[in-house]
Order: sequence, then C-alpha cells, then structure tokens
Amino acid sequence: MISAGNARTQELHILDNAKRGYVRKPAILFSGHVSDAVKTLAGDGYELLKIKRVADDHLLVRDQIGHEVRLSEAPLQIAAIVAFDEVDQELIERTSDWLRKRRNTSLPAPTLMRADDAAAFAALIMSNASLQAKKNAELTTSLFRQLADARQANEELQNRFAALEAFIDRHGLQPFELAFINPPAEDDTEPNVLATASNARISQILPVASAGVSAVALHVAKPAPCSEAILNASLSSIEDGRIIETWSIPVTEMEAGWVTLSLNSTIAGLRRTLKLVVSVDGQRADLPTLSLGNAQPLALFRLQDADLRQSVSSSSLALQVYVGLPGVVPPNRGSFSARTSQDNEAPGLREMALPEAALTQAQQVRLDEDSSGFDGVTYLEGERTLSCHPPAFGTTIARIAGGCPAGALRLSANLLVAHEKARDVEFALVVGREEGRIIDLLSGTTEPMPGEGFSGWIRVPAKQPRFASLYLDSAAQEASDLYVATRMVEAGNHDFAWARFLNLHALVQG
Amino acid sequence: MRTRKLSKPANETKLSNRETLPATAERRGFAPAVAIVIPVYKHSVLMTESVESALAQVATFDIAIVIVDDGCPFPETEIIGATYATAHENVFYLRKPNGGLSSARNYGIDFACDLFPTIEAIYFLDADNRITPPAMQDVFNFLKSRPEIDWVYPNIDKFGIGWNGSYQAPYSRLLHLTFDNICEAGSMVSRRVFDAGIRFDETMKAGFEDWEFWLQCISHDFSGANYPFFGFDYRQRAESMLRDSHRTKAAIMSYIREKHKKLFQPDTLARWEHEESPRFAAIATGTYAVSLFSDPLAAHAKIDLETFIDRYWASLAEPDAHGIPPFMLWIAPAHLEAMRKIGVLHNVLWHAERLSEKHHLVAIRLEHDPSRVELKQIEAGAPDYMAKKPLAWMCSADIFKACVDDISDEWIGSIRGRRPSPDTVELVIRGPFKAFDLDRTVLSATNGLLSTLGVFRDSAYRRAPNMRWTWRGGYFPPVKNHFRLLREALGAVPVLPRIAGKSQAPRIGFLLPIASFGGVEKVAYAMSRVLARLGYETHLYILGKSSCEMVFEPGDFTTINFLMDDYPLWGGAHHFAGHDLMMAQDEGARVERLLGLFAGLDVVVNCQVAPVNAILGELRRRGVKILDHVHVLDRTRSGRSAGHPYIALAYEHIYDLILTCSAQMVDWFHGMGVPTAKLMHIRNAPSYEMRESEVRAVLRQRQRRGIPERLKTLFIGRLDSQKGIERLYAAAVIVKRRKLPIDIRLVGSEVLNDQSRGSWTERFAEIGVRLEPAIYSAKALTDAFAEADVLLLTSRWEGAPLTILEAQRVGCVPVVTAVGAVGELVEHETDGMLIDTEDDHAVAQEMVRSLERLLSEPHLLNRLSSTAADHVAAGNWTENLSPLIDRLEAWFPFRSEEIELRRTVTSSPGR
Repeated sequence: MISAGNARTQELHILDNAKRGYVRKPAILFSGHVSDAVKTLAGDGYELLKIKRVADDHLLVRDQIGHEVRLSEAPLQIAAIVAFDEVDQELIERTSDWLRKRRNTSLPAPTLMRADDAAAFAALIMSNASLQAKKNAELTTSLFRQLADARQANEELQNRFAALEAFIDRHGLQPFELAFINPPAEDDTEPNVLATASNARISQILPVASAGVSAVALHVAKPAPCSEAILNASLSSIEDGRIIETWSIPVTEMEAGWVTLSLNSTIAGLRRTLKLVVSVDGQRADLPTLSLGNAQPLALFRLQDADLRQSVSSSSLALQVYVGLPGVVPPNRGSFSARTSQDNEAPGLREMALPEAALTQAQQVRLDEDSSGFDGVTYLEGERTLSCHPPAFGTTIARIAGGCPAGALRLSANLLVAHEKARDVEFALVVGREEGRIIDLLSGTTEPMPGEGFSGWIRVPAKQPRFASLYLDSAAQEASDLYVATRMVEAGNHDFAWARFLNLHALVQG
Repeated sequence: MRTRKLSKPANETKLSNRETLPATAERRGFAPAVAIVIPVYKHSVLMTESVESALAQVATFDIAIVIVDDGCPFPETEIIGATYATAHENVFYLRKPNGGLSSARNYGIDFACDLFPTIEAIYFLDADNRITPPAMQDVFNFLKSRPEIDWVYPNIDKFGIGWNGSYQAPYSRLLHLTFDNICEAGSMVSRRVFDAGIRFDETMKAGFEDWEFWLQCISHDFSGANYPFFGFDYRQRAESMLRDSHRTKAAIMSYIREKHKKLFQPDTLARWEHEESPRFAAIATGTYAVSLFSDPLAAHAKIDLETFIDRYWASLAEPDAHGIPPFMLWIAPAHLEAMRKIGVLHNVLWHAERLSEKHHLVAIRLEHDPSRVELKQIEAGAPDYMAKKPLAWMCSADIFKACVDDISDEWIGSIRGRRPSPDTVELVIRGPFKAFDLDRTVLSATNGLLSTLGVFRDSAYRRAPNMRWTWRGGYFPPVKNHFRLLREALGAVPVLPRIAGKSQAPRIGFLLPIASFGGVEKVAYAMSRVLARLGYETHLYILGKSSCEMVFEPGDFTTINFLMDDYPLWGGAHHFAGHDLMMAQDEGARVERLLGLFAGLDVVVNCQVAPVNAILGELRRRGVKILDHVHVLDRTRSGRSAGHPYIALAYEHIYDLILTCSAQMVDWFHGMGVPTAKLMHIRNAPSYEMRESEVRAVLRQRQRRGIPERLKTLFIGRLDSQKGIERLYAAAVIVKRRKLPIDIRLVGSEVLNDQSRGSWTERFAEIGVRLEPAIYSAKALTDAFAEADVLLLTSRWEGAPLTILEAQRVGCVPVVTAVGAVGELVEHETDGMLIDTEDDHAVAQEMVRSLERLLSEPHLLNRLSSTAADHVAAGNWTENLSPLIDRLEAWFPFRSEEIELRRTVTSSPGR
C-alpha cells in the first residue's frame, strides 16, 4: 500500500524518469484499464496514451510500450478522451481542460465508457473522426472563401486602378462631375413631404448606378432655422442590402438651396441601385421642406413613404448626384460629410463653389454692340444661380470679378434654359485678363493664351440641362475674372430664353 | 454503463459566422423552401464563388444548395464540391455522368423535388455566377406576392466584361419569342412549373436551352416577371458558352421553332401583341376613354386618359420598359361597331395603319351605300378630298408626339378645314350603314384629337425633361415598336389586326379577284355560307378591286377584306405553258403586304386569283392549308386551252387540294399529272337559296300555265364570244325570219372589249330583241327563270354554269351547248337538251330545231321541266361540300354544335 508520502515520492520519481515527448499520431487519451479489444481496434493508427497525471506545465502519460512520457505540448490530433472507469472521471475532465488550454481548435468531448465495450469505443472513434473531417472541411471551405474574396478583391482593385489610370490619362483633370440633376420644380405650392410621410421617413431610388457616386445633394425649398430636429439620411444599395453611408444633420444648419451629402469615399465595386432614405428625429412640427422635381411618370422613381413603400408624391425628390474619384468634395456650400469624419483639408485637387459674394457682384458688361441696351444679367439669390438672358441679337456677357480663383485648373457650371417655350440658347464661359480679348475669344477669332480659357459655345435646348467646363493650361497664380455669356442660336426671338448658370464651381489645386 | 458525453467542448473554433444564419440546417429540422441548383462543369475554382454566394444568403427560410457535378473531368470539382457538402448541412454535392447543362439542371431539379417536399421554388445559379446575400429572400417574397407569376428573372448585371442591361419591361411573350431570350437562366422558378413536368431539353447541348425551357413554360400558360433589384451577378468573359451559342444561333433557333411551332404561329404572336403591346389606342370621342387593342373585337383593356398620359410620358423617358400603342385613333365606339357590322373593321384598321406610316394623318369617313361595300383612298388634290367632315382620325404615335412637342397649334389646327397642312389622306368606307350608325356622336373626332393634344401639352410631365432614370441600359426594343417585331416574325407588313376568337374555329379565307356577279364568286359565297353555318369562320378577300357587291348575306362572311392596291390580276416575268406567272421574289408579288392581309388564316381557298399563287407557298410553309378552286378551262382567241387550270398546274406543289366543279376537270388534272388524292370534285348547286315552298309554288304556277302557245326563252349572261353570242344571234335571226312562235328574252350586259364587233345591243334590237339590263337579286332571277320555258346557253366553253342549275330548279328547261361540264348538269332529253356541235351555224340551226321540237312536243317540255326540277332538288351545297367538310374536319379537329349535329345526322342509320 502506498502512503500519501510515498505516492508523492513515487510521482516525483516517475516525473524524473519520464522523457519529454511529442505525439504526432492521432492520440487516444484514456484513464483506467484498457481492454485488449480496444487495443486491437486502435491498432497502429492511433497512439493509446494512459493518463497518469495532470500538472500545470505537463501531462504525464504512459504509452502502450509502458514508457512514461511527459507532454508539454498537446498531441497534434486527439482522437478521443476516454474514461474507462467512473472514478477517473475527474482526471479526464482535468486532462480535457489541460488540453483545451493548449489548443485553439475543437477537442473531442471526454467520454465515459466500459473498458470492455469495444463497440462503443469504435463508435466513439468513428464519430470523432467524422466530426474532425467536418471541421477540416469547414476549414477548407473557409479557405476557399478567403481565396474567392481575394480574387474578387483583386478584380475590384484592377477595375479601380484602371479607372484611376483612365482618369489620369484624361485631358482636363475632372475628378468630379455632376452625373444627374433633377432640378426643383417651379411650383411653390409643393407639400412638405417629410411632414406627410408616416414616421417622417421618405425614400428615393436614385437614377445613377452606385459605382463612382461621391455625393448626393437635396434641395431645401424652405429651411427651418428654428427647428431642433435632426435630419438623418442613409444611402444603401438595394441589390445587396448594404448601407453605404449615413448622415445626421441638424436641421438648423440646412439653408435654402442645395444641401450636399458627401460620401467618405466614392463608391466602388459592382454597380448597384442606390436608395436614399431621409428621416427626421425630433419635433415634426417644424421641418424643412425638401424640394420636389417635376412630375415623374416612372412610378419606380416617385418619392416613397419609406415605411409604407407607397408613393407619397407624383414627383421625385429634387436631387443632384455627383460622381468622382475618392476624396473629392463636391463644390457646394451646405456640404455635409458622412458620419465618419473626413479630412477635407488634405492637399491636392479640390472642387470649390464660387463664393456667393463674387456671384452677387456679377455685372453685365457691354462688349457686344448688337446687344447694347438690353439688360439681361441677374443674380437669383435663393437659387445661387446667375441668370443671363440672351438678347434677341448679339450676346449677353456677365463678368464675375475674381470668379476664377488662384490655383484654378478648371471652371464649370450647369446650364439650363428654364422655360419650355424658349428656343435653343448657347452658353459659354471665358476667363481672360483683358476685357478687350473677351469678345474675340467668344467669336473664335483668337485662341486662348496662357491664363485664358474658353469653354466653347454649348447649345442648350429648353429644359434640357447641360454642363460646361473651361480648362486653363496651368493653375492660375492669382485670381482673375470669369465671364459668362449667352446668345440665341437663331437670332431674333429671345422670348422666354431664361438662361441660367447654376452651380458655378472651380477645380483648384492646392 | 452507457456511453455518455461528460461535457460539451467549449472551445469550438468559429470557422464561419454563417453558422448563425438560419439558412443552414445544423441545429433544427431542415425544410428548405428554396433550392439553389448549381451545375458545374470545368468551373472548379470559380464554383466556390457561386457556392459561397449561395451560402451567404440571409433568409427566413431554409435553402438547399445542390451542386451538380456534370461529370467534370477536373478532380478539383469533386474535391471542392464534396468538401462543401461535408462542411455545410444544407449543401448537397451530386456527381453524374456528363450530359450537358440541361441534364445537370434536371438532375438537380429532380433531386431537390424528390428529397424536399417543402421546396416551393428552385433557383438556377451557374457555377461562375454569383448572387447577393438578400437575393433569395427578396426574390422569393416577390414570387409569393404575385400568384399570377411562375418565375422571376433578373436584370443582367455583368462583371468581368461589365455591362448592365435593364430587363424591367413587363414580361412579354411576344418579345421572348421574337426578340431574344429575355429571361436569364439565373431565375427563380416556382415548383408548379416542375410539377407540370417541365424540364430542360437535354438534347440541347449547344446553348439556348434556357430559352427553350421558358418556351415550354409559355406553352403551359406559365408566366414570368422581372424583379428589378434581383442581385444577380453574371460573369462575362470574352469567350463563353453563350458566345458559342450565338455562333450557332440560327441552327438552334430552327430547332426551337420546329419544337414550338404553335407558339410561333401568326395567330399566337398576334394574340400576344394584342394582350401585351396593343397596336392601337382608340380614344373615344366624347368620353376620352382609351381602348387599347390590336383587334378591337377581342377583349381588351380600357383606361382613362390620365393613365394614358402617364404611360405616354413614361414611354418617352424609358421606351424599352414603357409604351403606348404605335397608332392612335380618335373614333366613336359606335363607328367602330358600324364597321364591324358590315365586316370591314379589321381591314380598315389594316389600311389605316399602313397609311399612317406614309402620311401624317388618316381621316376616316363612312358613307351609306345600300348595295355594296367599298373602300376608297382619297389623296390631297382629288376633287372630293375632305369634302365632308371625318368621323375618325388616325396617326402614328410619332406624329402625335411631334404635335405635342410643337408649341404652335397652327399646323395641326388646320385639320379643321378642307386644306389641312399635315399630309392627310382620306379613307372612305362605303357600305350599307344605317343612318343611326353614321351620326352617333355630338363631339367630332377632329375636336377629340385637338382636345387630346391640348391635354397632353398641358400635362405636368411636359415640364420635366424626358430623362432616363433607370441607370441600367435599355436592352429591349421600344415597346411602341413591338408591332414591328410581329411584322418581322411574320414577314408581313402590316399585319391584319385580327386574332383568333374564343371558339378556335378554323378560319377560311376565300380569295377572289373581284366580287361582282360572276359564277366564281357566287360559288365562293355559297361555300362560305355552308361553312359559316357549320361554325367555321369565313373571310372574304377581294384582291383586284376595292369594292364588293352585296350579293351575299352579312352572316356569310365574318369579315370582308380588300387589298386596295394596284394589283395586277394577270401577268408576271415567268412563263409556264403559255401563261405568265409571278414568283414571290417579283416586285409585283406584294409578299409582305399579302402575308399581312392573310395573317391568321388556317385555310386559303384561291378562287382564281392568279398572281396570289406567288405567296401561297410561304403560307403553306407556315401550316396554312392551301386550296384552289378551279372552274373552267378557258380558251384564247385562237382557241388554245388556257386559264386557271394551267396556273394551278404550275403551282401544284403548294396546293393541298384542288377543287373542281366537274368530274371532267378532275380527269383533266389527273391526266396532266396531278395525283387523285389532291383532287376533289365539288358539284355545283344553285348559287342562291330558295325555300322548298318557294320552289313548289313556282313549279305549280308553271303547271297551271299549261301548254305554251309561244315558247318563252331566256338568255342570261354576258354578251361576249365565250357565251357564243354570235350563235345566239344567228338562232334569233332564224327564229325571227321564220316567224316561229318563240319569244327571246335577252338579259345581260355588253362586254367593252368586244366592241370591235359592233354593239350586240343594237344588232339584237334590229331584229326586235331588246337587251334588258343584268339582274342580280335572287328574286329577280327566280322570276326570270319562272317566266321562261327554256334557258338558252350557246357558250363556246364553260365550266358548270350555275345558271343552268338555277333555271332547272324552277323547271326552266336548258337548251345548251355541250361544252365543259355542261354535260354533267344536263342529260340530253332527260332534264334538258344538249347541242353537241361546234360550228356556229350548226349550233344555231340545232338550237332552233330543239326549240321547235319542244314547241311541237309539249309533253316533252313538261317532262324535261319536271325532271330538271327533281334533279336539282336532290342536291344542295351542304351535300355537295361534304367531301370538303370531311377533309376540313380531318385537318382541324374542331367541333362546333353545327358540326356535331351534322355528324349525328350523317351517321344515323336512316340515312
């Protein structure tokens, strides 16, 4: 009989004699007495290890030859942990805990069975092997997935690189464009759709594919400067159910006119359909009125109640959608970034709206004798729009002093003839330092010199928006004047020729 | 001691967050509502993307993912497939011998349907494509929310070689058959389809098997719909199976067309056009209700003007998905009904459509004419141009748009006057309209048109630019051009807007060169009458003239159709047995136009229209039964036999059956090489009907008259050489010279081109025989025959003249030359007298001798008279047409109540 003291001495002795081992074969760890039948079943494919002791830093086991082995590492593969005697249950549990601390993968559950029950033992080994095979398959498929993800990411990067290269190769550097505009309808009776929608949530499907979208602008018809509400907007792609960006804007900060919601980065990837959901948190009594566009014949694009999924209007939201390269901020005042902040101060190219102060000071210059006596230039304050009505004969020219800021590479504007009965009008943008050259540039009798630029004449039919840009050969060192001009395509009838320059902006370096 | 687990392992490695998704079945009973079938062949690696995208589905129902390895030779496919199946309880890897894409899909379908009774739909995902995580949930919800649809198909979003195409237009079978396969295989299909036994065609291994699959669905009356936010990503590389398929498209399409012949039939396509992309928008003057139809007599949609305006502006923004009919019509419903009543409605629309493409506007006017139907086209400059106010207007939608866009009202407003600025053509329809029909609206069509324009111009939509809002490109042709797809499919321009009625009665078209009072047309009318009573739908086509004498009852034909073209009734650049022939490629053949006019017919009976043979071959290839009805072997001036029997020989190949009016003609055709099986003798009968009591009354009256003191003779017909008018004249001269007690009544008309011989009217007048004008009405004819004792017929050649039978019916004894098939109608000295000689003088002499004999032997006259009446009474058109009706029944197993009745009668033992 071994006393406690002897036992301790014996254990130490065993430990001292036990060699440190490393088990590579699938191991069956057991306690109690193992039957011959079990040994036969295990054969050479398995390492049958009898658990002798569990210590913090090692596991002492005895192999089938009878050698004591000290394991500091868990066997690579554990086929089973078996107690052949109920009295060893606690040892087995401790063994399992010990192994668990050293393994990050699953372990077979410790199992109690009779020592002579070979069938149960065989079933256990097979069951555990099956589970292991499944785990391995799961692991393999996760690798397949990762590989597939990597492959798709590679394809995506290829496409983005190609887009970037195409951009770099493009003349005129234009990292940002207004891809779509649905201008506000000329109807001042429009309802406050936010107020009429249930839960003050409206949704609008956008008419532009997701790829490349960098900002969405809404138009505020009537601000609510005293409101304490927060306007929330979220942009999601419908096909994959992904929320791409969200915004939270204090309603008090939303002024009349276009409010631009900028994305943290331009959307990349496969082209999807975008949906914008706008809702308001807080008091519904005093909400800003979002402008609607003209009547929308396509039911899918009518403004919807986001919760009821029914049209709340026969129109779409008035909106603008910008596309561009990542990091370029659209050129509008009232631009709101997505919830995660963005470093707008980074050097490089940036789009900027022409200062309102410059626009309000725009003046008609009478360089064209044919048009003398006709007053056509007005700044429409609420719309940040320059109206430049062409004369029946000749050209209306407006000068925006300092309208071409220092560092400008490109000046752009949206063009609109805002009356359906108008005949076609031609628009032009010109930058020049000498007023005497402006009319020559407009007439095409001279080419732009360094520091000058001319967009060419752009023909704009009634109610069909167009876009114009002029490019400077290099970034302007200092600010210069911008001239905008309009003329009738067919001289003689300028009735209703409500020519508008909207969204005048510059691409500026630095 | 039983084996038991001591504790649960706590450190299970979390390999995938997807294990938490309800789409897997690891922790509960697996009862998938949807199966995703992924056939794999040589996409060993890319298949991981499709399988992963299937595993990534976020759904409230279980999804079974069935990978079908179609005997892929790459071991990797099996390893990866089996690994997925091992790792995921809802993935099933199946391997089968290679059999092609169809076979792999079918294998997956059968597996899913057999194993999972809960499956409600199957989605087909090719191994190199992907779906987005919400796709199955969204699409399944969409499918369940629309019980009327059986499959849901995506837009096409291609990656690799990127392309995005909008397939958002309402599902159109017409488009699906005539344009392209508009339903990608990556569609979700309801189990109903598979339960109906529909599977992919495993013989199709070169592509387009999905197209064929959808056609099977259409055949079973299943329908699909596009879900615009599907989330289906289609991998497009420079070369693919689909691209290979396009290279062999013609051959594959030929197979598909053959397999689905019924779907490609003109009838089917025309019906779909009517249901899906109606060709006409008829705006009712007065109410402004808009009827949308191709065939105004078929059930069709009616919408209010506001809805129509919505559609109009939507069609301008996105013409591939939205549309209005390509032709607009302002008309009172009463006027449509009036044209229907006289049978010309479809034909008028057909002409108006054609004219609308050539002119800015078509003004339609109806005028009353009690005795005939006529269509007339009046161009600007004609004296009666726009003489009266139009009752209807038609124009193309393009012209209408131009008017809406035009801010000035000046141009279009001028249609109020007689000299409209728009290029306007007038289409005048004359017919037996009732006064009530012609004046049924308070508001004029002109006002209707101009008011409609005003409403469109004031529409709020006009302020919005017609921009495309759907970012995917439009792939489909504009909806308003679907009618062109129909035209292209049928090779017909324009297509008669008449679709098959609910009865599915076979439609028989009788083609006539003219519709006057000739025997050819009378036989056609009689045949039509019998067939119409049996439930067949009969249609009259008059190709050489645009008018038609109303010598038939309105019910004899469902419609009357005119080609209204300068159609040459003889001639052609090719020659056969001394006859000029026209072939399909010849300019004058008018193939497209005639194919359009005949669209929808099951049977064509060509009643001696020579040039139309040029296009009948094409009709036959489309399954139309082609019959020729030949009446007479004509003669040229020099006596050469000629005419329609020879034309029939030239085109014998296209005819299913050649009908003849005589046994003699059957023999002639047989002798000329036509198989007997293609020949059918249809004995003539009187062209118009008389009740038995009427016949008896006439015969009694004749009996009461007793022995005539003077023999009353009657000649009725054209005064021309064919009718042997010289012989008749010679006989009359003899009668007059010998002062025989014989009265000669001459009824008919001179033939203009015989004027070289002088006026027969004058020559007969000189010997005291007055020419009475031709008579057409049945009653007048009966009276004439009833009054006469003898019918004289001195023809040089004939078929089987109806006049003889009509005379015999009321006991008028024919004394006639034995030409053509006359001998089949008259047995000498039994029911008439035959003059069997050819010499003009001999004929005259013989005729007078015969008359003298009848005069001298009153009993002979009585006997011949009563025998003739008995013989004719024994036959009628229904009896005579029996062989043809039998043949029609064999061709078209169609049953009408009348046919059933006929069957009962003819099979009764007492017969």
